[in-house]
Amino acid sequence: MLNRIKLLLSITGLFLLTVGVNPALAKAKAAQPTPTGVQTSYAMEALGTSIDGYWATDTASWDWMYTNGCSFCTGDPSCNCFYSDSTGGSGLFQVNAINQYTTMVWTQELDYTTYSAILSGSPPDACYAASGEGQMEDIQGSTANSLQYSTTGLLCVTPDGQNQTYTGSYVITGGTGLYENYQGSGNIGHAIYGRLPSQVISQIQYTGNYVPPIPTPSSEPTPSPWTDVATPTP
Amino acid sequence: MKVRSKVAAGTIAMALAAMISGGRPALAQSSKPSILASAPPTYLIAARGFSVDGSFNNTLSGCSFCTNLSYCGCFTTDADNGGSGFFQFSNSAQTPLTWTIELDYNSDPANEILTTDSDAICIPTSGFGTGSELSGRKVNTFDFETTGLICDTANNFGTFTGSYIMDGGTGNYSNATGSGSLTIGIAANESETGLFENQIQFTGNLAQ
Repeated sequence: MLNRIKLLLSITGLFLLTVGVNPALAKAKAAQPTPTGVQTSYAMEALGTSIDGYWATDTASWDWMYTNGCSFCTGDPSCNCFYSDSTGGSGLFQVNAINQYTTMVWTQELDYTTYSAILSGSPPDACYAASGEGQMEDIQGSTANSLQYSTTGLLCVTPDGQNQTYTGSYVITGGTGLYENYQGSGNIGHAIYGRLPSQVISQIQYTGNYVPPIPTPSSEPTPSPWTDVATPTP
Repeated sequence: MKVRSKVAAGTIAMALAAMISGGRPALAQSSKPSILASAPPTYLIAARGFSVDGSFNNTLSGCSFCTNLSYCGCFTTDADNGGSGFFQFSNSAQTPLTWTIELDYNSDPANEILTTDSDAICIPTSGFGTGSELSGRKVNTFDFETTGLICDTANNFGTFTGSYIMDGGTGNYSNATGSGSLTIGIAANESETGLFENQIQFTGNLAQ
């Protein structure tokens, strides 16, 4: 009987060790210490679909008045931009590749000027240096946590002449809720299906990482518990 | 009876420990992503591959999108002849992938973008390719177009940084749309064969 109990305990212990549970008295090895001065960084991935994207430009009236349709150029008819968002579309947000997906509401504007056209690899299709900004809003239950970002990259017409893809990178410029004061960056891949004249379908993907705000060191000196302890003598 | 109770208690304890520590029951279903109500479901996809026989074609012919033969070039590569490929759809298990891609560029000096290294340039690039996912006996293919930048690195390697848009398919992906990022790393040519080892990676999403 005693041997059976010992056997059962041994098997249980082996199993717990296999799945990663440390014995209570084991040294804390599982929680790898973060190197001093290095902030924890989280991988993030997000994706979305937009069904109501549209192109805009700055339009001139009477040669002196402009309707500025794009945010980053004013009074410049060579300026074009593409707006898209998740209204009617979709958005998913995931942290660390193992957590549950959460719903993401997103919006983005990409601006470029036709002066910057360079030939793509499938002439006469063109590529344009593009800049823009956007927001990812991660909705976790009743709370919404947003990340604002700026992006730069290259917007190109695909070889079939109908679609566009944007290859860029982004840097987080602000955040709210859980993501207040977060920093981060990553890649954006944005495909724009140009088959519908008025409502353009597009898909976006973000991969990257973000870092929580670095805690501000306290101005008060940290009291040392060892101050009054006499050095033990052998 | 006592032994049976202890076995039952041990089993429950092990199951609890496995769940707490992140181990998942083998038959547990993968989590379905939640989406906004009116949107078609989209799924994460990831694919990667290795090629041993990528080649540059600067012979002024043989590239699909050349209009100015004086400055035409392309890089073609695939998973044949000892290469490899893996495809993963959502949280599903990885499946083998065969793939092929052609990247075209116009090397007119006016089209070259200088980098900080005097011998290294970037050129806008466009291309297309096909991926064939081998799912058991079934083969599902997806076609894609891609644009981006192909660049020299400072040590004679090359990289392509681009995005892709799906452009048709067969099998499970006959009605799929998708897009994402596509990168290729091209090793320096250290042999006399004129072939370049390279690795490809797709990340993105797919809607069915």
